[in-house]
Amino acid sequence: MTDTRSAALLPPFSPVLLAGFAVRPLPVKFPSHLLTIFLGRMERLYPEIATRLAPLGLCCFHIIPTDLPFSFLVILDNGKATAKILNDGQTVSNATATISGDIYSFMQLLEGSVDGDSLFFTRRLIVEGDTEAVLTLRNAVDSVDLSVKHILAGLTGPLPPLFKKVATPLSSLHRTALKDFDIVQQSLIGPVLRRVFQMDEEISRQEKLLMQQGKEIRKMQAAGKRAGTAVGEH
Amino acid sequence: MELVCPAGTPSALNAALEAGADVVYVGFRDETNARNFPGLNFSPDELKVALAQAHSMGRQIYVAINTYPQAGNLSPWHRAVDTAADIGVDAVIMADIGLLDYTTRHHPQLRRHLSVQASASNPEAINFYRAAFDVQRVVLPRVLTVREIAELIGEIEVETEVFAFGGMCVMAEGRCSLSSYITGKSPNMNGVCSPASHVSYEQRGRKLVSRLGDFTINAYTDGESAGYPTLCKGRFIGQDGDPSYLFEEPTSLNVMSFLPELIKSGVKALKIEGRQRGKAYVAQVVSSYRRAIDAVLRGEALPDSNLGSLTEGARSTAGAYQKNWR
Repeated sequence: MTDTRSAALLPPFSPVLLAGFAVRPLPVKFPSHLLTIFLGRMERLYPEIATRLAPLGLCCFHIIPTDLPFSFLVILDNGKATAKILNDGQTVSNATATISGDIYSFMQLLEGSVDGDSLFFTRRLIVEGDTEAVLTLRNAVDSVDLSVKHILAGLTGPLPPLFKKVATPLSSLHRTALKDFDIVQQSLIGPVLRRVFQMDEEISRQEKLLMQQGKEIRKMQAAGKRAGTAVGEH
Repeated sequence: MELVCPAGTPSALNAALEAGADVVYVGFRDETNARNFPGLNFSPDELKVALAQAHSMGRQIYVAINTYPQAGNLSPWHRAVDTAADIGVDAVIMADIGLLDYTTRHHPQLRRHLSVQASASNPEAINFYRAAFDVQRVVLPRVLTVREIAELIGEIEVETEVFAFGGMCVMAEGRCSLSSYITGKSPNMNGVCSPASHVSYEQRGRKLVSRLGDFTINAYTDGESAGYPTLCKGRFIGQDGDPSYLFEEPTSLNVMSFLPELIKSGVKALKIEGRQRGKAYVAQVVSSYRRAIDAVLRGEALPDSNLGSLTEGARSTAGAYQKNWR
């Protein structure tokens, strides 16, 4: 079966993608409350974000990590954020904007370690809906030196300590694994890519040939017309 | 050679200072500056903190108040100048002669730079601004070759600042109203070109379509680098039937390879464009230019830098600095 989605909406081949497949059969009862706690602590640590988001009033962003089997609905009310986890494929009819990309890009954006415009220009991020709202969100989050580690460090309850314990090793494991996955991906798609390049070259060659032929036909038609006119004048 | 760097937020300012900016230029959160984007820019309190931080590091802060005041509504612009003066910023960057006059009369001690929005590119214009408003520096429009800049420097008595990296404009800086035709808003009057409130992107199958107001500006195929839909960088169907960039291609300015010549020409400062970009952009571009300037000043070869991913359309040009058209 061929996936007809834009290449930009297809998830990258990564450890997260495989992990997503692994958890897909599980009921998606991801602790939404943990996410809300995370956002609450983020708001306390970085109040400037809420100040910059306040002009948006009430709005909601549908954030779709393309390599995970769920998505986030982030609701903003005068700068105060709450969030819900949605099942894979669940649509949101009244989202102010939808942002799609891989989860690693979203994490980098959150910490400001990557330029949002660059991600967008290179099509690793797809934005649909209210562009002004998305820009406000990006600028607000980027206005502080946000650290996910710092936010996690202050979370309380049974789950956060466990999460904190595995977050750092997981993050470094993920970085290492990304390189390996890239090698595997290159080796898997290498033969296909070579074939595509050959076909591209052939198409370019055919296009040039067609253009040449077109020019010659136009020349011949013009010459024919001139001959016709010349005959008429006599 | 002074490296003048952009900051749209306090964290971008931190990034610029850490990366080696000599000066950071910023704007207030309103229409008084040419990057009036939502969620961007500084409150007066944030500016005070920024200034203290920069000065503690021996660096400077300039404030851009470089849009043209609206008739009958001068107070936001006058307030911006008064606030910048009260806070004690190192210079203000402005274009409007009325505002320059106001600043000269009310805050004569406040250093004044002429914004690129004034589009002053000849000795007569620049010397007029010097004589009338004691302008100390001119930011030159991106229309001159390096040789023309060197010749100009010999005929004026003010410092020169030139753009080194960032978004490109069509060559009518301060006089462009293209954005107004579609959105009713222009960089000169409202501080924003092609405002985000009028921009939309739509994924149509494998194509990404960008629109400004009711007009389709571009359609990108899969894998093709996208851009912001300004009218000047639209891809339209002309008489030959094929879509093409009729005015200007989406590309960024990068004059790094001309650094030795620019330094030799007597230019006082290099400006990085991009207050609307994130702190990651600021950190990467500023550190690359810091390394490059320091290397040239030491007489060394230009170091390698990879700024390709930060450019619009994944392409860059030396623009008019290397004018190879008539």
